[in-house]
Amino acid sequence: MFAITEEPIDLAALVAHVSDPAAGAVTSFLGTTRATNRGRNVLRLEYEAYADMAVAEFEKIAAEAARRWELVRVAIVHRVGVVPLGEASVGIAVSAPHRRESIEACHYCIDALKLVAPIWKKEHFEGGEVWIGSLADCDHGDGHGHSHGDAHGHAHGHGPKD
Amino acid sequence: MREMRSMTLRLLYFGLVREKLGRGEETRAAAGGLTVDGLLEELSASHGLFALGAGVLRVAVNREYVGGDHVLRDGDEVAIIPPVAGGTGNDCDRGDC
Repeated sequence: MFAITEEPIDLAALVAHVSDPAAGAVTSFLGTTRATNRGRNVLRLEYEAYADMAVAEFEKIAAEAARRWELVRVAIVHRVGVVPLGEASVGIAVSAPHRRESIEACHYCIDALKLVAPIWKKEHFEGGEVWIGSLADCDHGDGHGHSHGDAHGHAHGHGPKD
Repeated sequence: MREMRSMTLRLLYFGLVREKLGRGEETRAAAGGLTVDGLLEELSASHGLFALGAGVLRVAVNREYVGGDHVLRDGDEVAIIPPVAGGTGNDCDRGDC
């Protein structure tokens, strides 16, 4: 199960999808929308995806995880549209014969997804809105004086932020 | 001599880029042999794309990330990919902004 959906994420369905008599462990992950981000009071988050490519990337991530660890099955679903605070924007379930593989593979999947999945997040906060990862996102900052719009247009920086 | 615009590309825009350009897709005629970097230069001139931070834009052709020297073909679906939600291609993760 690899999907982009406008509906709330059903964790039980993800877990059921990967459950198998060959598996001795299932690890699941939910990424949920947080009420604060860099000092901003977040009102809601809005996600947009290049759905066809995102699903293809999910499949590649799962294939790579299966290559690295002995896995039974992987399921990845990302929600798009407005996601209210506290609700899940992404859900992953991984089953494996043993717990270590399932935990490590699940960790790998969410980290890889965040780097490559063509999915964008617009944060609506008290006083404005910003596309996460954009230059304006840096400039909005948290009061540390980065609002001068200098040249941030070079590519570096990695890893999940939420 | 005016170059031949022999290819038709389908361009897709997302997130910040879509919002700034006011549209999610368009078709565009292009010269045969045009590379991804060449297209980005053209879009910079015609759409002001670099003002959006072209240094952090990635490009996918037919749903696969490609490099700047990738040669485009007639009928390609070319997606302009601004920084994704997970956070790469910007300074913010350093924690100083």
